[in-house]
Amino acid sequence: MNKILLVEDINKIENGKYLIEYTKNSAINVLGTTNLSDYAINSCDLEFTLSDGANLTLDKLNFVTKDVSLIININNDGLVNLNWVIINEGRNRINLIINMNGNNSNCSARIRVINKDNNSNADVICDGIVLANTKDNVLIEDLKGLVHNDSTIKISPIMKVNTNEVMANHLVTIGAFNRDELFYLNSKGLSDESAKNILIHSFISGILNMEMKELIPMEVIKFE
Amino acid sequence: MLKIDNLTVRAQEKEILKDLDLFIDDGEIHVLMGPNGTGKSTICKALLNHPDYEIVKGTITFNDEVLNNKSTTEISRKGIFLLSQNPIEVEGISNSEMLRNAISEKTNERVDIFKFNKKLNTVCDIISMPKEFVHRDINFNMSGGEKKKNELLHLFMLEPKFIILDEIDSGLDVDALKVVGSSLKKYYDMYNPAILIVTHHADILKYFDDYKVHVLGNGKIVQSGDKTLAKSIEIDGFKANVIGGSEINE
Repeated sequence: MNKILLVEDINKIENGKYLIEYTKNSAINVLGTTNLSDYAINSCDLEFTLSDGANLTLDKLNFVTKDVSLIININNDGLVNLNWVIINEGRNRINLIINMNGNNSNCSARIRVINKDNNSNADVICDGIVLANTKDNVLIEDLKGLVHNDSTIKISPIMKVNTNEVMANHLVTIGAFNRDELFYLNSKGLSDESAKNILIHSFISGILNMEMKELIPMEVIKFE
Repeated sequence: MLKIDNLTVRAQEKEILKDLDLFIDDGEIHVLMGPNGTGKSTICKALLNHPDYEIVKGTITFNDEVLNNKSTTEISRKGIFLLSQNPIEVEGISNSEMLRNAISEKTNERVDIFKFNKKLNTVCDIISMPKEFVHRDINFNMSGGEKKKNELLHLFMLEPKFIILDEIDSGLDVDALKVVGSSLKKYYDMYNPAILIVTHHADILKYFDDYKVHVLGNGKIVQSGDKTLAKSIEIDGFKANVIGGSEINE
């Protein structure tokens, strides 16, 4: 996969499949059909703006250690598939803002969040904003948190929909390990620790594409 | 080998098994039959200490070791394997990866990848399973029949000494039942394990030559017999064949 190093100023990405790297907050204009993967240890603030008719698939796996925000501005005839895995370390606020400014666009945002350790606290806020006088937009937010220790996860889905001609849905679940899944893996002889790590890996990798999955072997995601 | 003494098990504040006794010796096959809701699946899960099932009294002993307070992991590592009727799907982790971890943890040794892969291939041949299944996520997006075959893969790789089959024949078509039944027979011939078969039907039993049959009613065994009992139940039902059968809740 091609790599693009984002810089602080406005970047333009047009058609293609790229692994993006960045060290500073960045703004990116997206044209055409673009698949971006982002596998960053320290996430910075990013802002994507889609030109009319642009199609963006954004796979993100971020180890978040400070407050971060991701803003996606969608204009006319846009298509956005966001798959964002957040492994949070520390007490951090993660803010997703989706602005649907035009007509006939479709945005699906899937977020999976998990805390790295007992002392972490993820506060995820998702703002989905559909402007007045827009029509035929679809906005779907699917937000899940897995609590695997004594840490806390808070997810706030906020939809500000200013028009009737829209389909907007949000799904939020925060839960612990499924007892039957744990039992199943334990019944194969796996320890609690291994079984939980497998379930965490499963929770995370469920929304990532194959290339991203290959970037996160089991050893990378070991939890306390 | 496996001895259940006076076992009472509760789930969701309701006693499901009541004073149940059962003894299964090495290499024996026992069949547990009974109408829905009589506690068949409860025995399967209680034997592996599922957290939702509480042993109120009685003991489960395996090779002279009491299992009551052992964790599911410990019980599994002693050689007890549950093949459940609805195996869980785990996306993102392959069979191969899970099995390698399970074997490594059980033996406390690094798995020899060459030998491991060779054995996987052999097992796939035995159970007529395409080799790419070993790299597929555990039961994920598999049909009912594929899931049962997948569990057979786990069975052959983990080589347990005691197998619990919880309605393994449910949801299988004729061809899948044939593969599952003949694979289990091959395992039995190769390793001579003890087997507890929990089932509603006698279909799976035709793959085994000899076995004992028990009928469960209201949380305890109400009748035991040889293979002819299973055949009679298949033809005439539980109430007609079991002493005190009218008391069985169907």
